[in-house]
Amino acid sequence: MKKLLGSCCFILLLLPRVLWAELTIEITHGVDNPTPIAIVPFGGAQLPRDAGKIVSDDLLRSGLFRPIPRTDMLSFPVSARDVYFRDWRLLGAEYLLVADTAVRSGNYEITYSLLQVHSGKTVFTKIVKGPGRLVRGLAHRISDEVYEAITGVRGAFSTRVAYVTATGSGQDIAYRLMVSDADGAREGLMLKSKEPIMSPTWAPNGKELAYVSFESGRPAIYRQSLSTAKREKLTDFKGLNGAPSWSPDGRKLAMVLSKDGNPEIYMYDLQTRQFTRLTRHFSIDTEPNWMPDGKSLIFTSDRGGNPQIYKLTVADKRVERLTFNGNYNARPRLAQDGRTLVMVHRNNGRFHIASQDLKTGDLRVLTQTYLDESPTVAPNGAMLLYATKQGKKGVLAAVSLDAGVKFFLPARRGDVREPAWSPFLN
Amino acid sequence: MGNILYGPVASHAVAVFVSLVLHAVVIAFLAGHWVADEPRKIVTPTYINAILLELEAKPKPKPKEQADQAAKRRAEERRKAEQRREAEAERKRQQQKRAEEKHRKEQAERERQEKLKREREAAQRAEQERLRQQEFANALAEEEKLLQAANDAQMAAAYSAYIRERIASNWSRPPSARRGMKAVLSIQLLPNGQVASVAVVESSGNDAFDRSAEQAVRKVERFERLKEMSSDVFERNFRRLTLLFSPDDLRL
Repeated sequence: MKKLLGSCCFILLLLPRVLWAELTIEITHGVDNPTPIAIVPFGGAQLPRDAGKIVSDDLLRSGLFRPIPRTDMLSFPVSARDVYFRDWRLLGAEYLLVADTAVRSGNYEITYSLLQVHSGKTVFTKIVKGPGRLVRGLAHRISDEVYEAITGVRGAFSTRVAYVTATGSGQDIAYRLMVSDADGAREGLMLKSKEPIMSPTWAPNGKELAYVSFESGRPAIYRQSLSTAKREKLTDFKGLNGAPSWSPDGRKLAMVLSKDGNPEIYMYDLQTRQFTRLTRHFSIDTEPNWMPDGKSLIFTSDRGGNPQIYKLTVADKRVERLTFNGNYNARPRLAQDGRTLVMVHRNNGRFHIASQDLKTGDLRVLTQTYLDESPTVAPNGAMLLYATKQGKKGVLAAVSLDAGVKFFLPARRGDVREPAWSPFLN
Repeated sequence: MGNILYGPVASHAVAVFVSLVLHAVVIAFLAGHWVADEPRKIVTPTYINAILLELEAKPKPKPKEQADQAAKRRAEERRKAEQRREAEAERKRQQQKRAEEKHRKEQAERERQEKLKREREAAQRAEQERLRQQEFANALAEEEKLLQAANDAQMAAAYSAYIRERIASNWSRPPSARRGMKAVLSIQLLPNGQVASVAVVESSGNDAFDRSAEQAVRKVERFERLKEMSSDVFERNFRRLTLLFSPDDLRL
């Protein structure tokens, strides 16, 4: 009895927090399912393309959304006023996108609202406008806004991808440098050649590309403007001229040259046209890529006996090894966070794309396809593109950095390889 | 003090012991008091047999009538002595009577006192008993309250776990969510478990994260099991709740 009283007194001492303070419940777990969203067909003036469908496809491909099929929708409201939220709750939608189109002085003007179904709140109402031929771009911008509002990450649907295709064989072989929307649509030709084209890289402003072309019979590095197609040859030293990488400030290119006998990494200043040799080692140093801070580079070297990834600080040329898992890690690229390294990683004789957290050292194999190569990370760090084989054909595939979503980009003629994801373009 | 008071509750042996001790103390006290009163005991006065002497000089009888007078005087004296004896006896009788009276009175007084004392003691005992009973009842009530509170707390904890579970299974975090982010929401519930209102009271600094938390609560819509809860527990703990969203299961 006394004991009981004692323990009760003890409980009494503890209780006030639980009993008389406002109860606090801590939620530390969740289930990260794709967000169900209803994208209502855009109302108002008829657009030359089904922008609602483009937005829906964008969001679906991100892996973070589950668009509700149009066939399930009970009504097609065009603004928040017309919405019966109960209907959308029944469909399981969490968010609702409604849009109304008007034509003003030859331009389309789309007013769109993102609504929260459960609270009936409007997250935002925005307007995009542009000519009919740019409807795709307008739709991607809407996708970007919706994606950012719900995920907290900037959308990358309005970005572009450069890649190289090869068609035909023997005498008829043709290489093309292409640029398309991130979803593979609106493909445009930059350069066609009978000789190989390699290693496209974007200028940080997204207005130019640099690449390697063998059109003169030996490798040379070119830069070319996307809007004017004006191009300029930068280097054609004897031997190897390869793997250009544009610095974040846009003023320099890192590249691999073997003009001094052995493939080494150089820095080329686009204004002064000066070369600075950065590595000095008898082994092969290649595939440089700038870190987002512009002060250091990562590159592949076999100086340790097999290909591994190293970091080079430009100022003091100090080299530090970054990868230690497995005996083949190459073609490094860094996400914009400066922390997530992606690369080609050999595992059991197969080449996969893997990511490594530079802070924790955690390595993660992201792909199950094989002969995977040339990873390139979206500027928002959510996805990466890489080249792989489907049957005997080279194709592009995408995988989210958390490995949750994987899909192939639309098939093209011939082999597709060496994708390069653009920076943000707006 | 608490121990002594709780003592009787602890066991009957202790109760009896303490009761006895208390009685003893009371009796001792009373006895002491009575003894202190005792000095007023009846003192039988030691009286003196005073003889009144007539010192008045008597006229000398004449010799002639001296013999006569002497005889007369002797007779007179005898008579007087007789009278005195009688008076004396009478007085003694009176005195005895008075003494007896006094004794009887004292006896009565003693008995009265005795009775009073007994009554007082009984009253005190009753009071003591009453206090003890009350103490016991209080302790019981206190214990009851504590048990109830513990019970309520247990119930509150069980329902909290239920609410946590329902929200967690509806919480889809955005990719921008990071370990260590914290959003505090205040929600109001109706007794049927329906979510009446949700408000972000402390933002994580990430709108998408805050929205995902709010969304998780709204998706639940109704915490069905809350209607099984007793209304005072609901009123005390669940009408208004604070929710802390702080993921610890994220990769980054």
